[in-house]
Amino acid sequence: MTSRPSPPRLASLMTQAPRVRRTPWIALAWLALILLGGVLSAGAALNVPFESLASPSPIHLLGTDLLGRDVGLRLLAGGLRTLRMAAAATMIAAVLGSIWGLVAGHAGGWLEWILVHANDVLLSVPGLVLALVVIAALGQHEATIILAVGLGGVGSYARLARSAAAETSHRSFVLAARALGAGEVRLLQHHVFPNTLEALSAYALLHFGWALVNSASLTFLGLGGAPSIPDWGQMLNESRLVFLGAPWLAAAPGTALALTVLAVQRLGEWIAKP
Amino acid sequence: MSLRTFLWRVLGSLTTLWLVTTLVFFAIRLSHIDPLAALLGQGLASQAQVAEMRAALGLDRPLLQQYALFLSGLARGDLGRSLFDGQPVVRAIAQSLRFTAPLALTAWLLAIALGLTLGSLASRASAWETGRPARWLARLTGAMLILGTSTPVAWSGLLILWAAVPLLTGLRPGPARDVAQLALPALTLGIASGCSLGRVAQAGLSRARREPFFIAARARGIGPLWRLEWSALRTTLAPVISLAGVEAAFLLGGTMVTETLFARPGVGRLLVESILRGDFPLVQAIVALMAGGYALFNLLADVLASSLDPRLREEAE
Repeated sequence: MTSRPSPPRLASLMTQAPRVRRTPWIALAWLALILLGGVLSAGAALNVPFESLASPSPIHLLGTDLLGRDVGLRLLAGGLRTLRMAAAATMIAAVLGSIWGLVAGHAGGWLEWILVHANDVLLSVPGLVLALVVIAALGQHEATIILAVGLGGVGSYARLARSAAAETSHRSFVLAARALGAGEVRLLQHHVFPNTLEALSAYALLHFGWALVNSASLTFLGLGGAPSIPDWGQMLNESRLVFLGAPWLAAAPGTALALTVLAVQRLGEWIAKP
Repeated sequence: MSLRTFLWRVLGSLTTLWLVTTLVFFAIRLSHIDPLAALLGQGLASQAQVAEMRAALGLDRPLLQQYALFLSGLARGDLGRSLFDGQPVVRAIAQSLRFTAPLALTAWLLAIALGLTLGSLASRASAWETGRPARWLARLTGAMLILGTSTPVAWSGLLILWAAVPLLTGLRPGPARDVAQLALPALTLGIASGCSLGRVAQAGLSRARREPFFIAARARGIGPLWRLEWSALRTTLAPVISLAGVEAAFLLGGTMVTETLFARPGVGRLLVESILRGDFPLVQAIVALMAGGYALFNLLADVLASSLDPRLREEAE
């Protein structure tokens, strides 16, 4: 604390509250760049070998890897795959978790008790470990990783949806609709769900960042299928052994991953702010 | 927390643990992975030998009978043997815990120190009475927290490893190198966990700084700086402690990525390898260990939080 006695600046206290909401142009531009680059590099020959471990140069902007493949091209193509996997996983978590939580929060009573406790079982295993168990059961494919990361996130989504639904279900318009004879399914679908949508969709972006890191972690551990498929986590894993001689190999996917998570978080905060 | 609530929570945790082990047991056995198929495929064993091994391991019995055997073993504290090298599961896990436990403890303590310091500094950005230097420091630490939570461990660990290479190559085998080998992964994990703790602390503290009780405490000129900070922190302890409990369980369960990166044969590494080899007994034991750790640390965190914040005690009862 500062030692000088500060006068009560009530005016500054009053004016401070609503800050101007600035559009996160940098975050949006970065995400657009990754998406566009991924689409444009889709037709490129990714596995053509050049000189092995060439350092960054005008021809290979980000250098080449151990097998002589262009890191820049793989970064662009891999970004799209990583984003796609995380997006699909977020969809699974959002849909399953929302249904689970909304039903629990709206129903109350014994059904809520069962659903909440089943959710506690799910939450007691860390998301990444749950994903590993799913992969152990279903094998190593891209689809399994998506399902694994998705199921790993259902628990936290359900918890959020339940508290949002429990809050909405006691509000007067829901009670009024019930008094008018609306069935429980209709109440849930037309009255509770639309009013929790804002909270649920704001959480989707936060969750997307988590799914991004987790699916990259799984491919980093070598569970992502064939090594010829470009992927950020896999690129980080491949760079591990030659990291000292060729730091650009790790720097490219590592920085890209961190920046993407950062951009997604920023976007989520922007959307969540009223 | 009254004794009654406490006992109920213990009972609930045990039920959760049982459900998790049961789920994992069936999930893995219903999969198409056959741990012995690899032996057959590589020509290391004949059909008859594989069938014999299957019978010896009890893998040819009906699923429910296997489950009953597993449960009775569990009650006796016998978790079976690894399918890979025949080592008792308990011993394999104990061995890997020798690598994971010191790492987890160091990283956890580091995370708490880092999280509270950064969170407390960053929360001053929204305090209206702080001076300019404090505000800049707050912005800087806030940015560090955001950067720390969005950088994947796989990348930050590589960076730390890279920065420490000159240090590591100069060290001969001995106590100094042992310390460095523990410090690097601990730093990686501590930063990641500490930043998420720090963001929770930051959110709570910036709210507390605007509360009348805090402004009143400042106006009274309450003691040294740490007493003032503590008065604000006490009201936001519940989420911080409960997250610290979750992080403890997470760290003790081993962190697969960090252990892979730093080549430490800990619990997380063992889990990944067991999954890749289809080593059922080890997988289910490790997942049970993690779920058990989660339940235990959650319970401890709740007891601690309710003893520190009287408002929570009333809520729970």
